[in-house]
Order: sequence, then C-alpha cells, then structure tokens
Amino acid sequence: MWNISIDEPRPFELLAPRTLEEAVELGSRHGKDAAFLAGGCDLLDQLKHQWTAPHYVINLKSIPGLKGIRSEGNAITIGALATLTEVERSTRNALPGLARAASRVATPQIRNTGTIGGNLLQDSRCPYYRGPWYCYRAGGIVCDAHHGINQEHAIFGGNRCYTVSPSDTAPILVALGSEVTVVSPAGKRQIPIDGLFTTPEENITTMHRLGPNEVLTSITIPLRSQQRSTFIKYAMRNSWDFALASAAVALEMDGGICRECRIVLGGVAPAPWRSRLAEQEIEGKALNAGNIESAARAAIAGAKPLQYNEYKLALVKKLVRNALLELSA
Amino acid sequence: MTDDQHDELTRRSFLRAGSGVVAGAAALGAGRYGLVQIENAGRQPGRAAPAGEYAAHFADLSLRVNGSAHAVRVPHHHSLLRVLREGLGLTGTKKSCNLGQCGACTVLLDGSAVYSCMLLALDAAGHNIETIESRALDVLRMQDSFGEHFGSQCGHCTPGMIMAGVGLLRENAGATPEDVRAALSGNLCRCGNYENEIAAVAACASGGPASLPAPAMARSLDWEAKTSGSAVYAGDVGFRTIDEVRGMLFAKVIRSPYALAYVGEIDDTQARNVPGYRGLVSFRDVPGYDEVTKASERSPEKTDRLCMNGKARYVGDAIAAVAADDPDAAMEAAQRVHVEYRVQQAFPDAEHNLEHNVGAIHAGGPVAGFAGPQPADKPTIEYRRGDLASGFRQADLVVEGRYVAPIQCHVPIEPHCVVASWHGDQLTFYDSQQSVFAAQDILATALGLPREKVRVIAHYVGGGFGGKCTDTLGKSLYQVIAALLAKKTGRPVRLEYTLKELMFAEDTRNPMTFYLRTGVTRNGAITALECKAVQRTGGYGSSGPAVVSVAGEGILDTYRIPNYWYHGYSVYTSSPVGGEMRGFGHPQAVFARELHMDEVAESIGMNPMEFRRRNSLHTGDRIDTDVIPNVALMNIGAEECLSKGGDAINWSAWQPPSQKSGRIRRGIGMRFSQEHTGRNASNGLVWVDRAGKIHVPIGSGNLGTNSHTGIAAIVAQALGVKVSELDCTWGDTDSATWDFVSDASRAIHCHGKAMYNAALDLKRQVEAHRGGAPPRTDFTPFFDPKTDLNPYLDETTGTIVMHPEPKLSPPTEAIARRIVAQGGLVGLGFYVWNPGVESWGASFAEVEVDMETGQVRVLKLAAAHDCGRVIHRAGAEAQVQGGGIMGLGYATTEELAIDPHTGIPVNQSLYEYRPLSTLDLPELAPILVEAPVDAGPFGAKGLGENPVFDAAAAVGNAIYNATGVRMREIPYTWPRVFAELKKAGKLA
Ligand SMILES: Cc1cc2nc3c(=O)[nH]c(=O)nc-3n(C[C@H](O)[C@H](O)[C@H](O)COP(=O)(O)OP(=O)(O)OC[C@H]3O[C@@H](n4cnc5c(N)ncnc54)[C@H](O)[C@@H]3O)c2cc1C
Ligand code: SF4
Ligand code: FES
Ligand code: FES
Repeated sequence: MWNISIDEPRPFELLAPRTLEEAVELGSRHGKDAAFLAGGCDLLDQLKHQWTAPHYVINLKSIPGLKGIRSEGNAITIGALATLTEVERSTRNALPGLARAASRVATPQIRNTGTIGGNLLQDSRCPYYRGPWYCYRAGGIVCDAHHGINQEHAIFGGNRCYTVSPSDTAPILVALGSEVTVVSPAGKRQIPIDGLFTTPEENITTMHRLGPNEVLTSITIPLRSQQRSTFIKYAMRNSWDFALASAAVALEMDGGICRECRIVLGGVAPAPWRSRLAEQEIEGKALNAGNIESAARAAIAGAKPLQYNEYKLALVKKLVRNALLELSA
Repeated sequence: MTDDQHDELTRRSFLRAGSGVVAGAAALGAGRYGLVQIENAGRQPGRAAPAGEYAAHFADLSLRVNGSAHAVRVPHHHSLLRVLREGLGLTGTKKSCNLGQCGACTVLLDGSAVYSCMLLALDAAGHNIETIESRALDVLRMQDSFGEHFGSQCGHCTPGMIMAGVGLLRENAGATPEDVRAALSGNLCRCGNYENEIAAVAACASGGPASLPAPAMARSLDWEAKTSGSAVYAGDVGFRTIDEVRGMLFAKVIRSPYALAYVGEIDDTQARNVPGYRGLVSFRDVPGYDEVTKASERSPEKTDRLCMNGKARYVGDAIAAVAADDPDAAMEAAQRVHVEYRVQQAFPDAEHNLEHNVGAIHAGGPVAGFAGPQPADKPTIEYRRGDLASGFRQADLVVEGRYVAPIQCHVPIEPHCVVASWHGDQLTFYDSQQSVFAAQDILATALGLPREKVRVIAHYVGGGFGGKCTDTLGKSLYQVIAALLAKKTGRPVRLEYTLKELMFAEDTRNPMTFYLRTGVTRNGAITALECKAVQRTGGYGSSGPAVVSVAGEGILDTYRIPNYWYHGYSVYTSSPVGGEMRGFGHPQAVFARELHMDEVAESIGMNPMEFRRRNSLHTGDRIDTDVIPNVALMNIGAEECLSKGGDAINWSAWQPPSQKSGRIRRGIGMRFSQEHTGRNASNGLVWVDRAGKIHVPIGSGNLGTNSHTGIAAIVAQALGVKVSELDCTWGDTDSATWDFVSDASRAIHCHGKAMYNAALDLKRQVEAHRGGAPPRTDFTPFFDPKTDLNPYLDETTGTIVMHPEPKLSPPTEAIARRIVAQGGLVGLGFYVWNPGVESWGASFAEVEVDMETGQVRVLKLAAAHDCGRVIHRAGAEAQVQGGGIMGLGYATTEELAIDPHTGIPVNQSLYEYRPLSTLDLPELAPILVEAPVDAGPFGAKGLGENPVFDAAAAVGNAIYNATGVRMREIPYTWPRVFAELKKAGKLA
C-alpha cells in the first residue's frame, strides 16, 4: 500500500533455515506470505514501503555453502549469496566483463551486502510500479508509463509492460553462456541463465521464473581460453544509478575471425536482450571498423521507442560499437 | 484488444493509495492531457493491505559494537540502524533516506562499509560492528583529518563519510585520491563538500599528503562535535539516556494521495486496535481552521494553508496525523485510518490555469498574491521602468525566447525532524530549523500562543538550503502537528519525515517559465526588456509570491536596462508546493536571462563576454524599485569576476559554434549576475562574565554554512583576541542573540556586522567599567550611522520603512538586562541591511557533447565570486564548491517529474532524482574576489546562494557553443539533449 509517510516494514518473522531443503519447505508452506532474503538491498526497500507485507522472511544467509566462488576445471561457480564485491574481486582476471559489471552496480556499500543472486532476481524498478499506480505489473489493466514519463523504459520486447531489466550482472552472465542451479521441492536442476528471466508476454507480474519455493543456489560460468568479454554501462550518474542502457559482449578470436559472439543488452528490454542481429554481423567475420559499425546498426533493428526514450537507440549503437572496439584492440 | 480500446484504457489511472475511500467524480488531468479517469484500487488484491494481527517477533541477541558486547532484544524487522540509534542510543550514525540511497547510515561490518538501514539487526549479530563512536585509532585519526580539511559543512553526512573512508583504508592503506573518490561514491553530501571530504580521507592514506596547504583556521567552530558523532541534530533527541526529552511518542502524518480532493470522514476505529496507539489529530483540530478554510473558499485571505487541510491541494498534503508509542505502531495506525476523499479534477498546468482563470484550487482565483488568491488578470508582482514601447522602437533587433526551469528538491541529508514538548503552557521545539527566531514567531502565531511561551532549539541542522526556514505562516508547519499531538496526548511527540515527504510533501524549488523579449541596438546597448514569468507554486502560496518577485530582481538587476516591464504570476497548480530554496528565484531567473542574453549578444554578432561588460551595472549606479529604495550600488567586483573567471576557462579562445565539427564537440559558456546579499535587521550581543570569559551567543542558524565560524572570527578580530578564547553558542531562542532569519546569504554580512558592532561596543563598555562607570542602563545598541541604518522593506506590510529605529528586539534586550543584572558587561550592536550591497559573480563552464547520443559531460566549472572580504577561506570556498555542485545538479540531472495524468511525482527516490555524487564532478575552480563594502564587517558581503547560479546558464550556453542548438529547458539530461539535437536536425 502506497503511503509516503511509511519507511519501515510491517513486523515479520525472520526464519532461519539451516538447509536448502528446509528453506524450500518453508517457501512451499508460506507461499506468497513469505520472501527469501539475501543481501536485502531490494527486498528491504520493498518491505519498507509496505508494498508487500509478508508475515515471514526466510533468511538464506543462515544456510551454509551458498557463498563461495570456486574455480573447477573449465568453469567458475559463484554461490548465489556471494556479494557483488566478492564477485568483482575474484573474477577480475578470469572474467573481466563480469568484474566490470559487478563493479558498476550501485555503490560500494550496496556491493558489500548485495548478492549476485539477488542482483539477478531483483524486481522491476519502473517508478509507476514502485509507486501508487495500479498498473499491469501490479495486477491492474493499464500501463501508466506507456502514456506517462517513460525516458527510462524499454525499446525492445515491450508488450503492455515496458519495464526494463535492471540488473547489471545479467547481461554479461547471459553473454558468457552461464547456467544457474535452482533447488525446488522436486530437487536440484541446472538451466541456462536465459531461462531464469521472463517477459511480460509470459508473466507480466514478475521478472523471473522462480516460484516462491525455489532457491537459486549458484551460477556456473564456462571458461574459454580464447574468450574476451566486456561490459559497458551508461547511466546519468556514475554511482547509484541503474543503467539507461548497457551492453555485454563475449566472443572468441580465432585467427582474426570472430566466433561464439554474444551481444546482450541491459536496461532496454524487460529481460536481458540478446541481439542476434548484431551478432550475425560479426560472427565468422573480422572485427574491423566496417563490421563493427554494421553490428552497431543491427543492434537497434526492430526497436520500438516510446514517446521519450528514442535516445536509447543512439546509446545502444554507441555501446555496441565501443564494446566491440574495445575487444578488437 | 484493439489499439483504440487500449488507448481508451490507458487514459485511466488506478491508484492503490492508502486505505482511503473515494467518493464522487474522479476526473483528473485537465487541459492538454484530456480527461483521465482515476480510480482507487486500494482494495484490490495483489498488494497486501494492512489487516489482521500486528505483532512484532523479538529475538535476544548480543551485538558487538565498537568492541563491546551489547545484549539487546530486537524485533526481527528492525534494521541495524534502528537498533543502534533507538536501542543503544548511538545516534552518531545518522538516518536519512532509510532506503540505501544516501550513505548517511554507513557503518563498518567486519571492516567493510555497509548501509545500516538496509541490514537487519539480526543479520549483524555475530559480526564486528563499528560506528563513528568507535575509539579505534584510525577512526580518531580520520575524524581529526576531517576537522583539519574542513570535512563538514552541515556535518550530517560526516559520520557515514568517515566510516566509508576508514573502511577503504583498512583494505587499502595506500589508497590514491581516485580510490578515495570511488570509495566515497556511496555517500551523498548535499552540501557538496566532496573535495574536502576526499582530501580528508586521502590525507590519512599512507603516502597521502601529510596535510593540506591548510589555510589558517580551516577548522570550523564545531568540527569536533560534527566529526565525532556527538553533534545532536533534532532527529537524535530523545534516544540517549542523557536527553532531557523522555517518553516521547512517534507521529506519522496521513497525507492525501490525490492532487485535489475534499476530505470527508476520518475514521480511526481500526487504528485503535494497534497496541501503543495514542490518538489522532486532523485538520479539524488546527487552530483557525474554520476561519481560514471558509475564507480561502470565499475570498482572498492571508494564509492559504494550514498545517493540515480539509481540502487536499497536492499529492502529499497533510490531512491528519497519529501518534503512538513507537514508529512501527504509528505507521500501522496511519495505514489503518480510513479517510474519505471526494476526488476532484486536478489542475497541474499553470498556463492552463491562468488562461482559464481556474478557481478550483483556491476560490479566489489561480494567482497566488501576497494577500492570498487573486484572479488571473492580476499578476503577483509587476516592475516597470521607463517607456517600454519607445524602448523597443529604439532597438535595431528584438530577441525573444521561452525558458523553462524544473522543480528542484532541497533533499538535505537530514530529513526534517521535530520533537515538541509541553511543560505546562510552555512549549519547546527541538527542530531542524535554520531560523530559530522566525520559527518561534510563526509557530507561536499559528498556535495562538505568546511568543515567549515558545522555545525553539536547533543546535545542529543537517543542511537547510531554505527548506528548513519557518518564516511564513504559509509553510508546511509540521511542527504545529507535533505540538497538537503532544497537547492531546500529554507526551512529547517526535515527527520525522521520510525521504518521500522530504522530497515533495515539503516545499520544493518553484518551477518557472519565463517569456523574455529584449530590444538591443547594433552596437550592443539594451533598450528595453519585457519578461513574463509564470511560476507553478503548487497547491499553496508558501513563499511562491515572494520568489516570483525576487526572480524579477534576478532578471532586471544585473544590466542597465532603461525600459522594462516584469510581470510575474505565481500560479496555483495541483502539484508540490514551491517555497524558498537557496537563491530564492534567482537560480530560475539567472538561468533564463543569461541564456537569453547570449542570444541577444549573438543577434548582433558580439562576443558574449563583451556584451555583458558593455551592459553591466557599475558601482554607484542607482537602484530604485517598489521594493528597493533609491540607493547607490556599493563597491562591486563584477569586472574582476569576469576577467579572472574568463582566464580560468581560457575565454580568449572562444569560438562560435560554426567553428565546431565532429561527433564529440566541446564548447564553453558563461553566466554573469548578482544577488543582493541580505535583508532586514540584525541584533548583536557579545558579553563578558565576571571571570573575564567572553561569550558570543550567535543568532544565525547552524545549517552547514559555517557562518558561526566566520562570525566568531569577526568578533575575535574586532576584540583583538583569539577565536579559541571565545565561548560561542547558537541555535536556542532562549539564549541566542536575535536575528531576523538565516537565509538570503545574510549571516556573515548582516548578523556579522551587528555582532561586530556589539564587539566594538563591548570594548567601550569594558573601558568605561575600568574607568569606574556604573553598569549600563541604556540598552541602545551601537551602530555606524553612516552605513548601518538603512531603509528596508518590511515584508509583513510590503512597504519600505525609511527610518528604522535602532532598537533591540525584546528577547535580546531581556538577555542583555539579565547579564548586566548578574554583573556581566554587555556589548550591543545593530545593523539594518543596505540594499546597495550586492555580491557579484561570473561563472564559466566547459562541456563535451556527444552529437550522436546527447550525452553531456561538464568538464570544468570555473566560478568567480565577489564576497567583499574573505573571512574564512575554507568556509567560503566550500560554499562555492557546494553551491556549484547543487547548481550542476540543477543544470544536468535534477528534476522532480510529475506524472501528467495523476499529478503524482514519478521519481520519488534519490537514485531516480540524482543529486551528484563524488564520481560526477567536473574540475571545480572556485575563485574568490574581494570588493569590500563599508557596510559589511571588514567589508564582507554574502556568499551562500550565488554559487547555485553558476552552472545552469553557463552549461546551457556551453552546450550551444558546442552544438549550435539553443536548449531552453533544464536539466540537460541525455534524453532532453538528444531530443533537442534531433529537433534541430543536428544528430550525428
Ligand atoms: C539505491 C540502489 C541502487 C541500485 N543500483 C543498482 C545498479 O546500478 N545496478 C544493479 O544491477 N542493481 C542495482 N541495485 C539493486 C541491488 O544492487 C541489487 O538488487 C542487489 O544485488 C540485490 O541483491 P540482494 O542480495 O541485496 O537481494 P535481495 O534484496 O535480498 O533479494 C532480491 C530479490 O531476489 C530474491 N532472492 C535473492 N536471492 C535469492 C535466491 N538465492 N534464491 C531465490 N530468491 C532470491 C529475494 O526474495 C528478492 O525478491 C540498486 C539497489 C539500490 C537500493
Ligand atoms: S512499464 Fe510495466 S511496470 Fe511500468 S507502469 Fe507500465 S506496466 Fe507497470
Ligand atoms: S539512511 Fe541508509 S543509506 Fe540513507
Ligand atoms: S556536509 Fe555533507 S551533507 Fe552537509
């Protein structure tokens, strides 16, 4: 319930499961009347506004083993509860794009408590949804942003809802071909990270596909010796600011030829937006200025700007160009 | 669904707003937006409504804070911040946004900086917590370094900054200044003291500079309190065992979610089930409610607003308030109070309201006048000189333009807080207050009490910027709400704003639109100027009418303009209320006029600098308007500001936009203007007790400008003693020297002069006493008749007082008599501001614009300010830096955007509103120019506000210089600049 005089949560009971099974069981038992707590940077914001007022908060931090970052053979596995600071520090050499993305999230303090799992699973930041408006995403039958103030909304993939994926780590993790491990009452499963996110077409009220009794436990990123990756974010401030647009690129150079290229955009669509058209312009080709420019142009093909966000097209072009230029150097 | 149906639907807005009940028609968004249906979805499922049981779960834990273990019983849902402050009384850690958006609450958790507001106390158990109260050596060293480097203006961000700095150095002892900048990027400083904060941390790094090339006396008077966390701000009162306030209740205000609505039933039945609920007051309990409400529906009336209102005129208007034993219960009770609203069509658009003479907000008409609402054909203010028509006939060219400035929010790092406490019929407010004496008057009037029954205490104020200056009845007067609840419950009551209340329920900087038209001859002389100004004042007048008037001075008072007509309209709109904010109309006006003057210069092909020089007023020119008596302009440093600032940006290399090309373009631009420094009268009082101790009870508020440090220096210099020998106090109506207000850049110049006079008087008194004279019986204050007693505008009557009486205000005279009766010697001073005292400034920006995307980067901001005489260099430079940064935000990022359909602010958070952080700053080059005036203490003028004008016009003109596109609306956000480039066909 929106009330601008409110800035503390309604009382809740903090549950401290010792095992994943227990956590999942609590999630099943309480359903929507409970929320998982990781670093709390997003959850506490929502609880303090009393938009949601669950009776139970299930603290994932009490479960051992969800934190560390491990290198195993040709992959790095990051526990869902690893903080963004830990991610940044331990991936600088192996995965510079991921380290850069983690380092661009919010502020040092938020990175010290916010987790990578929470970063992937954070909710929409559309100010209408987070305000008093009863829009589609809140369960209503209009999109207030569509005919309101929409500088920061989607240019791709909007469908009734035009919110954008706010996560800075999601684009690069998609570009790197990561997989996530999820534990649910049915057991453990590993899925490509793309499968974590959802679109308004599929479910307009949530940004991800996990149910209230499912816990994200880790993210596994394959390591490829020839791979280069980068991440660039444009935001009006250099701290504390969600991306107006961001680009993550991962590719391999094979004798001057670009392979396994993935170009993923953040902040421009309701989920991380893989730009296959842009990828096609360089896959199997040389990373020269002409091809890079073609890719930059292709990245905005099919974009549908709203009244106030056409500048995002230009941002995307520049992002893709600069990211590819950086990797070609 | 067809597109038409979709469109049909999208023209409705549904709100899940509070537990209100909506009755009647609910059409909003008149004018160009078409009719929009607004419906209450408060009862819709999907979002939890408060219902059912309400009970906290507790845990017993041991928290390890600063090396000691504390056994505490904490509710599961409490943050570490709450437990530190409310539970342990460790109020050095500050609460500000409470949402992870500002950094004021930063503490160390196992050595890493975290936001204690975003961490559950339960999650902190088992970890090492360190706060500003830590006695660890590196914390103490950092505190001292902050003192040495002038690391605090208001000091409210300081504890968090210090802890973030300590956290960095624990991990990286050899941090570079760039590392420091990054490490402090999660700590907002609204005072804009970043460069000093960075220097203070960097100096503690190994290999860092041992110390600043420290200007003498860099330390402020109260650096120790501010850096150690012991400074008590209003929000800290009542949590420590040593506090005099005990057993306080917590209040929450119930605010309208609708932009225009009549309030019907208010029912607290459900709230009564909340344990700890103590009661409700509503607009019906406000003294004067009947008269004011009826009057404002009927005819003009002086006060168009009460502290709570039965007709909500903007989103956030106060309707009622509850008090309870703890904040949780107060919030729960507030959620459960049912309010019946009859929602009306909203009128967010000032020009529409003027055009249609809308009387829906206030029946008297759409224009806020000095005496209340008035019809559309009556401007709030007009200034005329000469013959406009013949002026335009003399012109070779006439240039016109429309300029738009947005809503800016003060967002000081300390949200407003007050504790109201009655002892019998005596009422004490511990308040976040810039101007304790003005507040005392206004609050007493609003409550119908004699002034002496009200005491206002504000020792430390976490930034004000005009937003904490209770100097008119039309302000929000949240203090009165607390007093009414305190009366009703018989307990002290604490009312603290949330971030959202701070952002838009409280006053903001008025958005304004200017229509400017200037005639100019080919050789560069201005012949005539017409300006129509339309201001959205929001639901109430507040300071809007005064701001629209002062904006007129801002438009007119820099250049020689023989013929002019300014007509300003402060217009009621269903949007947040515009009040006073640092610069008071000048930032809007200077932005518009200086953009416009660049266009005028260009129309005749003249270099913008040369054009300004040619038309600038000079020392000795006469000013004479309805509000300023005929006076001569005192010594101004305009030319020196132009030349030094120009050198700093290398103006001689200026080239017109036609010379620029490429995708990334650079440009430089300038702004030139003045602000009169001060207003009204000040008293001065300095005394010495029988033991020989000198006491300086300073009357200016301690809001972060560090005026008290300057005033102490003035007194010390006048007496020929050291500042450290003085006992300086401030911020208490019971003991401080009366001063009119602490705003209008007046503290050093006005109050400083009165205190200077008092110091001179004290010297004479001491001599007389040595010569055996009896104690003084004449309490006439000392002043210099040549400079210190000037005609002034009485703002209560609107007339100019030609012959003010040199007489102490009653509270100061009472203090003086008491001192003498107790055997002390007292020196008394007086000063009435001379309107010929003006501070001038010129600023210069260099920008880089990406012609493909509209991204603008400000590379450099050089600002030259004439402050008469530098009294305290570190403090003065900090004002220029800090004001400059606030102005840069105004120029590039800050705008409270209002949803066109519902009138509700959209970007209700700091991360969406975007005040600048340590990582967003250009090179800042403050230049202090000294053109002393006889009226000022040692020649000093004011400085606090002018730096806010530095950026907007200079950046706008620089953008034009880079791109060749005139952009007449701020802030210059990327989307806006992109759209302007596109419109002009200039996109790369
Ligand atoms: C002022 C501010 C600025 C910000 N700026 C940025 C930014 O620039 N870029 C950016 O990317 N983010 C930004 N964020 C968002 C924040 O950094 C991320 O949300 C953070 O990483 C979330 O992590 P957390 O552990 O705190 O999540 P939490 O708040 O604890 O959780 C977020 C959500 O995910 C769920 N969840 C968390 N972990 C799991 C799990 N393992 N399994 C199942 N569900 C889980 C929670 O139930 C909750 O719904 C900002 C946040 C704030 C407050
Ligand atoms: S963009 Fe989505 S979240 Fe935002 S108002 Fe529209 S429907 Fe709601
Ligand atoms: S109060 Fe915690 S970050 Fe603002
Ligand atoms: S000194 Fe930083 S906010 Fe005032």
